[in-house]
Amino acid sequence: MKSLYYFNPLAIVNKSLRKDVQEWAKLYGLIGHAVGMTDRTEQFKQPVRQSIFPDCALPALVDSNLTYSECCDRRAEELYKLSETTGKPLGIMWSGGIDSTLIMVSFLRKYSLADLQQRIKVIISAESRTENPEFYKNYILPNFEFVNSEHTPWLFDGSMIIVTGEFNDQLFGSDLMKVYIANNGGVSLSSPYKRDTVFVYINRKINDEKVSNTLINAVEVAAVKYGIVMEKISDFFWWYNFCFKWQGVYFRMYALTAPKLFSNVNPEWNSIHMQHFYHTDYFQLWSIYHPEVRIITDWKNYKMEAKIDIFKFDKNYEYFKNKIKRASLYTVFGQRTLLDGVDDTFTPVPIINPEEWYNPVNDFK
Amino acid sequence: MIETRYLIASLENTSVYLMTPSVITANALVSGSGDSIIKVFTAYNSADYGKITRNMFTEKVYSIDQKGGNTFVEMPDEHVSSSWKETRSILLTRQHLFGRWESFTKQALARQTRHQWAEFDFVAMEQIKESDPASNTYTWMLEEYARIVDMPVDRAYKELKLRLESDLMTKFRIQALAEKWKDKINQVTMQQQVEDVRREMAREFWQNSSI
Repeated sequence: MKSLYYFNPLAIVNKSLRKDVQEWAKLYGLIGHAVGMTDRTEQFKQPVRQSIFPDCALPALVDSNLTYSECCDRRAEELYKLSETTGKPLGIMWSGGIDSTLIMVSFLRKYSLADLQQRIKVIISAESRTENPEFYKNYILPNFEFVNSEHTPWLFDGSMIIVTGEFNDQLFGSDLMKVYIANNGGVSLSSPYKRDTVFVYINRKINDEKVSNTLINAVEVAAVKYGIVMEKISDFFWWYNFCFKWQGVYFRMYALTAPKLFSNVNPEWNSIHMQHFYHTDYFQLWSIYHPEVRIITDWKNYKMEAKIDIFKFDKNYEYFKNKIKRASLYTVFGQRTLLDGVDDTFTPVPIINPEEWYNPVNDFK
Repeated sequence: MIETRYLIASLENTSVYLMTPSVITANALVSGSGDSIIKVFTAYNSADYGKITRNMFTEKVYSIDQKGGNTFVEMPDEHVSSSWKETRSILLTRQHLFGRWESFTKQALARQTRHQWAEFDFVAMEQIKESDPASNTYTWMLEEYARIVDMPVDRAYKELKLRLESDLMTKFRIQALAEKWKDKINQVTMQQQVEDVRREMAREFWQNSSI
């Protein structure tokens, strides 16, 4: 029986009258109803059949001892080599945000501009300029060929290796921390983990005690199973994002695929042409073994290691000091017809029939 | 601009089903109802313009006396057929959804509404098409644009092209989405269908991008 690697919960929630599905729907009040969760430890049972894509499995817990900067260098090197061996350019999705700017920096500090101009195309929207105008003016506009991000659904044609900035959020923590800091203050975020404190925050968004407890239980159980100790409140939000959202993030770009390119969506194509920059075991291990990066009292300090690396390169103090993470993918995903899911044979599922994918053995009965 | 009210009336006897202040909603409604036409009312073409309220056409039934200066004549209940009432009920249900639909579309288009002079994009796109960066050939208008914005012309070309293509492609697909949901709303005949349509429309306009 097939299961799903990726699903849009709204596609299920809007079309199912089942009581457990409607209970489960409340869960998505926490992070938005279009983001499917998948527990990478496979403990949490939702009313939809799902499985873990092998590339999204959690890595073995052995510290790589790489610094964050070294991880970036190594990844840039890997992708440069991949471009060389395949003879295909790297299409870097640049929004002007911290994650994608650091990707550009990782290449720019390692290779000559002349080399990179032959190797890199920048997938960009008109909005990208406004997010990082200095970097745009000094590095992007004068040096690189543009590919309009409006073309994203047709970029899965194999003509380039798509490089995204996905997963840096999962490495550093979660957007949920921003709201937590706004509501409770940064000191509270860095205080010892207390289930009751987290519950109050979570339940304010989910608004159902039973469902909130189900989720917190799931996050705690997954942590124990994998061997994570949630020492601080920030660890809870990080672990939730790291463990439960990873696979959804891995696949969400495919939701955009143009129908005529569906046949390209397969593991072999994916292993070459879809490269999420921060999706490697060594980045994940860096994140696991550096909980101190999640101890922040001010949202401006979120992703500080990344901001430091960018600053060392471009010396843009204003960006370093004041840049805060903001969502950018909505410009790519907005007002489009998206796939509802991708199944475990990597086959696109344009429209999910909830009954076809229903999992009766779930935590919401 | 003259303040205007759009009345959706029966083609058969000019009895008024409903009033909307939006010509876009008016057109969307008549595109789904073969018996309907749009009647445009202003203070200059109707002596009764000042009497028009949103509810007046749901409380009573009026026909339009065109020879009498576009005034309203109340129709006795016995002259109003049940099928007419059913059509009005359906159109009112759809009108509510079209209010959402129009708001969603406007909100989606807001990011691309940048100039006082809406034709700018088309004129600029012409300049882009007539230029050729490979041979370093740019139109004189583009060269002047680059001088004013203080940028080398090849960069101005690149940046303007990106912005224009982004905006036009975004507007194009927003319009496609609007067309799709206009047709779906025009298939609604019962109040019970409203919530399903509203929810799916909200999903496709907004929620899918809340990732």
